[in-house]
Amino acid sequence: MTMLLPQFELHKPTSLKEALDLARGFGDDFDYLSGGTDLLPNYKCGLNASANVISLAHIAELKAISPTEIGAGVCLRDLERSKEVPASVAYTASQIASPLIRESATLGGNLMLDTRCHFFNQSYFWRRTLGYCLKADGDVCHVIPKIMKDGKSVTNSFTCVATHSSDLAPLLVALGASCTLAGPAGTRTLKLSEFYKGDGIARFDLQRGEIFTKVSLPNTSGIRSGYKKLAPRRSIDFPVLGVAAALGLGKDGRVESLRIGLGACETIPVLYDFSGKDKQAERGNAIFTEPTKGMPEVIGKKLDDALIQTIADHVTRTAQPKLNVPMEPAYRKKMAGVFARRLLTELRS
Amino acid sequence: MAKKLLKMMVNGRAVEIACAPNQTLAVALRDELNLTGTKIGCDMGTCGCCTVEINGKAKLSCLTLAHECEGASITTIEGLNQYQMHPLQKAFAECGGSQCGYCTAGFVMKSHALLAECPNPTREQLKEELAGNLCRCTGFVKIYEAVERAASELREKAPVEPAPATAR
Ligand SMILES: Cc1cc2nc3c(=O)[nH]c(=O)nc-3n(C[C@H](O)[C@H](O)[C@H](O)COP(=O)(O)OP(=O)(O)OC[C@H]3O[C@@H](n4cnc5c(N)ncnc54)[C@H](O)[C@@H]3O)c2cc1C
Ligand code: SF4
Repeated sequence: MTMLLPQFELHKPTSLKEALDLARGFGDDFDYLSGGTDLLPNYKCGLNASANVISLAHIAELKAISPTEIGAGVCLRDLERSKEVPASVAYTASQIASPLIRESATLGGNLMLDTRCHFFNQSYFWRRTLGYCLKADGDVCHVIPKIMKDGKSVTNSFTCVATHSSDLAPLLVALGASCTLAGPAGTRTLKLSEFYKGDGIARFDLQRGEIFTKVSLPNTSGIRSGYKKLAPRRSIDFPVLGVAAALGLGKDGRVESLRIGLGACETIPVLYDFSGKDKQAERGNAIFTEPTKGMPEVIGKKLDDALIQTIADHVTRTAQPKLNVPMEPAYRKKMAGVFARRLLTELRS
Repeated sequence: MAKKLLKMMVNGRAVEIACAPNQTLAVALRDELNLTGTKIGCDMGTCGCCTVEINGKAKLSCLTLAHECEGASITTIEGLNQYQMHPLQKAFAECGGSQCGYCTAGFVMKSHALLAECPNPTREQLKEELAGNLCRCTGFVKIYEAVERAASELREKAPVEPAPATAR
């Protein structure tokens, strides 16, 4: 069955500057396209399509890869085979979608993947029968339609809680990566964890026209990292839960640093930073409680089974998966802790 | 949204086709070049039916815009058997790797790209690499057997030189 793409003009700049100039001319009515493996399926469903599409696939500046910097245009197939990047990054890339998709899919597209939801990733016809939703064409959220305000009155929710289903995002957030954005006003760099906003529609801290150019990794020598993915089928499905960890362990087995990234639960990859000052950092959707509350002390302690279980319990208690992607939230919540425990046990040995 | 003339190499032959910016490569191959061996299954990236080789890499033609392939070299299932059946095609037929046949072109193209990179894949590698191609008839075992048979045949004799372009 052929799914028709809406009408648009395609532009193929060969430099960042040219792309930014084009974008400026289109105001709000454009989208960037890298591999197209996320944008084109959404366009085929008539989801928020624009009249102009600017392809970033022909910009060589975006394709550099080194141990500390990965260009947004690097395709996942190259990333999974790269000997330069940390092994956990290559492994996680290899768990995304299928080999066919990974030939086209890029790192930038993966980190900027549109959020997903049962009520959103559907054909136009399907969505029309339900009266659409906040994220496209409508004015109600079917996942969380009402919220308590001031602890008593019930009002309509105007926040989209669609899930951010990238596999690489939780890992890169746990590794402490930062990202560089190039815009009409110049280039800026910020922590990847701060790039995501707790809103399924606004999604990113991104000025209109800005291009995601690269991810920079801090020095990861001595850091043990890994990722575990839960999906209905291992072969091709989006994650319904992803747990990543970056662990610094002293010679005596004591924890020097620990950061856990939780993917496919909320509109952002959630960061649990057990080491930093930003332990109470603002995160996630404002209408929910903070998972950082009551975080156990782990720094300087020996990473024995009991401590691992305490960390896992904290992750389970605070994970907030929504009922908008496959598999029950209760199961995914429980598995978040199970994965955290397995991952830390593996990383310890 | 005017159509624009695009030059590309398709199955070793230089072609020029008029495509709209919102045409996928799958639609362009089928509608403009009449190369209907490439099938459109889900058209959403999930099934792998529309796999073709773009500059030697097996990609989904349903998630690739025709305009993005300007100047590229493309091989479709028709490009494999211009004079005789390709060992992969023969093996799929002999091993029962194809039943209804809708997914077969995609499987053959993905396997073709795989064997070019890795002439002797293990069964595990095959499963990983073919994970993006779905077949609802065979149960996959016969497909893996077919690819393994073709791989050993291709390893024994030097690969058949691609036939010179023929007028279609
Ligand atoms: C069947 C199927 C299965 C999938 N499974 C998975 C999975 O298991 N895990 C997973 O994480 N993903 C999965 N995906 C989603 C997708 O394939 C990947 O996330 C991929 O990495 C997206 O990259 P892309 O280059 O194709 O993005 P595109 O589709 O080109 O872009 C995605 C979004 O990012 C924006 N964008 C892209 N690059 C830039 C940039 N440099 N600057 C600014 N904006 C940019 C685009 O405007 C668009 O909104 C799947 C997709 C399909 C169709
Ligand atoms: S979470 Fe609510 S608003 Fe967001 S896509 Fe799903 S139904 Fe729509």
